[in-house]
Amino acid sequence: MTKTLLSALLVAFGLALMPQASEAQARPGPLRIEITEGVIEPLPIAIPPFIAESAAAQRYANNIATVVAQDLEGSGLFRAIPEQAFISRVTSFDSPVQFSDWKAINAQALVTGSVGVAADGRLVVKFRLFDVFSEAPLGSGLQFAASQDSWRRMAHKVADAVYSRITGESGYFDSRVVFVSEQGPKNDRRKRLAIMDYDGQNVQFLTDDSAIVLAPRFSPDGGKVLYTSYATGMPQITELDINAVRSRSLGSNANMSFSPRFSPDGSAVVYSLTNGANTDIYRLDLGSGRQAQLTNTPAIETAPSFSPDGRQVVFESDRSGNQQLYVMSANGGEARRISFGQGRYGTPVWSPRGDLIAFTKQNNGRFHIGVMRTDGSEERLLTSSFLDEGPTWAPNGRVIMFTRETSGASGAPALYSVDVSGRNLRRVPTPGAASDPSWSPLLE
Amino acid sequence: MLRQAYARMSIGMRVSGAGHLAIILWVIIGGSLFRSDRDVLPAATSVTLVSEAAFEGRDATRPDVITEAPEAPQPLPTPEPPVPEPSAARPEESPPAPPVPEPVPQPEPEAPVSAPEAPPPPPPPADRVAPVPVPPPVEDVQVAEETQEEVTPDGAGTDAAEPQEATAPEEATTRIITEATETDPDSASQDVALAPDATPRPRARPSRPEPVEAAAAPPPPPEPNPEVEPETDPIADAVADAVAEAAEPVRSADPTLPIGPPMTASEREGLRVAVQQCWNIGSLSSEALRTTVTLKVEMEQDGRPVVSSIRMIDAVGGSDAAAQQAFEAARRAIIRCGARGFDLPVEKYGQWRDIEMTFNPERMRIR
Repeated sequence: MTKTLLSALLVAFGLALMPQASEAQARPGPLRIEITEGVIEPLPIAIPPFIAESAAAQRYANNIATVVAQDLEGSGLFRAIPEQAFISRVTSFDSPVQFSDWKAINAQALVTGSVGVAADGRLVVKFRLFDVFSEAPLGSGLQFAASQDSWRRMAHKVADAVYSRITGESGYFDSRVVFVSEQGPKNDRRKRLAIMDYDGQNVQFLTDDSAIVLAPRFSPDGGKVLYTSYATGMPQITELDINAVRSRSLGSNANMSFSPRFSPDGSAVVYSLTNGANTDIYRLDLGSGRQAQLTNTPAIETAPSFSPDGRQVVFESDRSGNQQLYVMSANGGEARRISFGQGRYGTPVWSPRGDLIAFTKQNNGRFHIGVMRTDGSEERLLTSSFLDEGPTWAPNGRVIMFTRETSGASGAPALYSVDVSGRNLRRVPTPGAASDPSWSPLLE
Repeated sequence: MLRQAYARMSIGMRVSGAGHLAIILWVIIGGSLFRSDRDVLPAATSVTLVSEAAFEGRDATRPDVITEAPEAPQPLPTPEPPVPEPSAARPEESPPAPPVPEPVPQPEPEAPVSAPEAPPPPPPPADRVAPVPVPPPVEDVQVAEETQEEVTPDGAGTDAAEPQEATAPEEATTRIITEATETDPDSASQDVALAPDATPRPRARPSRPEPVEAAAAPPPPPEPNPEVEPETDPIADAVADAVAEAAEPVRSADPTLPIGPPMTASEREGLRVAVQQCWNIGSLSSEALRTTVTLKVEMEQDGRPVVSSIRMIDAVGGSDAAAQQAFEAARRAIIRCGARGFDLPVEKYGQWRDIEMTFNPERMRIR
């Protein structure tokens, strides 16, 4: 009986609503839905071999498409569809695209290109990017011209443009990395400065192995490198002009100076200086040669890194009794501690975007590379191993490269990269052991 | 003095009484309130009242209600419950409903005692992060969006089915697993410490549900299955049927567009799930991941989007460039997953011909 009564009431209630429902349906508005969950996966992209416009360009056509695919796939954000899966072939750069063929293999983006050799012998690379499912180009086509020796750089430029148009942020493929190349047994390593493309190609050595070198750091324009040299038997900061391969020492006194880093405008350098048993952070104005002490505590304070706007400096200090991260004004003064987790924090580096700080963390006998907000919040550990240290940011602030050393007598350091989300951890190929990477800005 | 005050008060009372009387008369005789009801009620009174006896035997009455509205919405295509139903879902003259095969002992062993809240072990890392985890496909199985069985010619059959390779969806996990979380010694030691104390699982799952054992086991409290209950709730059915029946004759200004009863929550959810499967934000910039975009799309009657109609009508949280990236990712999702047509009820086409989809990536930034 109760059920009947309840049923009748509900029916009556439903009927009472009918006028409103009918009126609403007579003028239906758009159906509205909200999507809050999607998927995170590499975007399938098709990069068929570029069209060779002449026989001389033939050998570059395939290579350039291959490097573009490697770049994009290596970022972890794209998945290059293998050529065997292609249904249609691109036979001419200007022929219309058969989008249905690319949709059928689920390619969401398509890169077509051509390579030719100009009358002056320079290589000319053209490309177009298409959104397959929208059947529309993504931006206009681009063309690069350079010497034939620079074909890899042109491929990186194409990949940067594709990456930028799809992700909305700048690329990082046309960039270089300076690092310390290591050879010999673990207790007698010979160390040299070396420079290479971001993907480990075109390695060149900048110094010989007559003196130990440490911690190279690029200048903001990528033309110079600061590093710590033991050429005098004592660690001293040295500046190296990459193009001229000429170096000069910036440490003119008898104290140890190390851990240097350029200011964002390149006009100053922050570094650590040991005076007696105490290590503090100093700032050197490269124009005037004037030196200013930024910290003055009995603790060891080192590894300074500017914020991208040049107003602040993050550094590591054990002033609390344990190695932690601090932020202070670029002119010195009161420092604010930003790391409060368990373990020890070190080698902080401010992201080029300004939103994150990468660091090394040691806890429970393991090393991690992690990131946190500039106020110390939202700490996330990205890696974990026997020894990870020395992070450096890609020019777009999306990828971090660092040193990973394996344990044991035969252990050796190597370079690794990881996406800022913690995905896509991969080893960077180097000839032999390598450590202390520093990522350049995007090349012009 | 008092007299004057009393006189003033009685005047006020008279005025008030006259006013109330006028209002009551207006409402009864010429008011629009009741007239409106009279106008509308006939459209809704076609619902038959259900007697108590018929109500109690709800399974028998249900087909009658459905037959009044031909091609009523079929049982919603909920993919989850793989309950072994008879092939004919709702036959017209079905024999007295057989006892529902409820004692299928699937869920019972899974939800016994409340265990201490140990953090679930992190899922294995995968390239794809999606709301629904997918186990890795078997080797040599082609990855595709849909699962399909392998078909091989058996040589003797007359079946004309084309041979096809087995396919399976790509492996997916529900969150980003970094190397640090994968090898976190803290969580590992926690798992080890919690495991022997209070594992909620039985030591061995019975190979086959024996009727005797089921009878011997203490009968579980008759908890209704929350997924099945709404379908068999007579009250809800009666209300829904009444609403559907009364709403049927309504048509929009364009007589070619059927409106039908209101879109159900399941139909909306089905569309939402279909779109989110293709909404890939893995290649978006950080700024684009902070941008919520709303797209408007016109749909064909077969459930496919009109690609040229997709446009962004709102963007919140990022720059124009970020909004453009977010828009393109959302547009790709609509086009890709709508290529074969979304599963939408044709009889309600007038309600979903124009759709506004809001893509909010807030929950997907870092997981």
